[in-house]
Amino acid sequence: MTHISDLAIDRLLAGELSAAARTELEAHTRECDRCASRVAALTAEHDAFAARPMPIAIGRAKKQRARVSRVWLVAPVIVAAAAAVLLLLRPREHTPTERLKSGDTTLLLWAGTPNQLRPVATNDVIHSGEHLQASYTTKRDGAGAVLSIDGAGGAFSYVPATGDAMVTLPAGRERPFPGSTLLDDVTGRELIAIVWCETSRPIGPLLAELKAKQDLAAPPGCVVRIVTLDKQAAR
Amino acid sequence: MGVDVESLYRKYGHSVLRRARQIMANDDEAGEILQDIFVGLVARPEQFDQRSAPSTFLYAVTTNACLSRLRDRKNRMRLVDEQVKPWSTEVDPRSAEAASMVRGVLSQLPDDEARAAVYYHLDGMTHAEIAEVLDCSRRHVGDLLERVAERLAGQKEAS
Repeated sequence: MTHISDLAIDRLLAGELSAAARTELEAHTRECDRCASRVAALTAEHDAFAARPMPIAIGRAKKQRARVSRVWLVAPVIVAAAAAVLLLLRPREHTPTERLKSGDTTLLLWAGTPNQLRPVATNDVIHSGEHLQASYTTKRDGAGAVLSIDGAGGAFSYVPATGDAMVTLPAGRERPFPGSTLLDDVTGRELIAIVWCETSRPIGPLLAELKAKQDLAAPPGCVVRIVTLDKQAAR
Repeated sequence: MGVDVESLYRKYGHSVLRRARQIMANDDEAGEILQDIFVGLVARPEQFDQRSAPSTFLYAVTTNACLSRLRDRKNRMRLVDEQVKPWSTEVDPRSAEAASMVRGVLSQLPDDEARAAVYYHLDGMTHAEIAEVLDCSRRHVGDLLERVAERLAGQKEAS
């Protein structure tokens, strides 16, 4: 006899099962003591867990997330101010892991507090709790994204934060990508890919390539800048 | 549509914790993984694109988090040698011996085989369920499990 998996029971408890699947599962448990017992055990486990208080860390993360959302609103102002400072700085030499593949599009990365962002390049140190913001200079309207592989190997799209479509980037000088990212507690090598394209591309394949190769070749009509940072614990 | 992480935690946290305990064989680490997963969801809700059911997504995330932690800390052999707990689910009659051996070789398995092995030998999932969680064909699941079986057979012969 094939028994019901825990996955099926978890789905039952979460209300994910269709009516037909639920009926089938319930019919099975009427005839199978082992599965009936397992359903009862997981139901008790589910109920006990749901009654536990929410971990403090989750509430703290929600507050942090709310602060990030507010930063997104002020980030353009911050970046514009920081960009003005950057114009006075000497250009940094790029390591071989950074690529600027187009002469008329420049991609920059910034880190720091909302009030004090600094330009960062490969091998620079950043810290948990700091904000990361990308900016660009280009004469053409386009679209872009900021992708990341963190120290735990997780692949994320920082910009856009949701969805699979690049954000629209109108032509301009030292303009911010829409949204900054509050860096979490995962430390280690943080690989950032800033991508600008003439036309929007789906994020999924770019993120997959970045994760698989730890690098991202610029697709046709795109400019990619790879920046590898050393992310350390919050100061 | 936004992700209601608190609701997901209430509905699915128990299964994340249970599976993390089963894979890690360590209550403290399972608790950390549970917290990491949901804190990570708050910070980066885009991880869950809502194209799959929450249960499917969280099974995959939990498995990946456990395998990653085991690999990163290079403690898999310690777990196997010192404190492997008996697999708590008795839902599936698949061999307890195979489950024990799977734990022993998880660290040596390629990622995709390790995930398939966890789902089949430890979670007792069907090929169809594994294919859904891994987002691949049943045929591919069969191939992965066949390779795992070959490795387990090699392990048995060597022991």
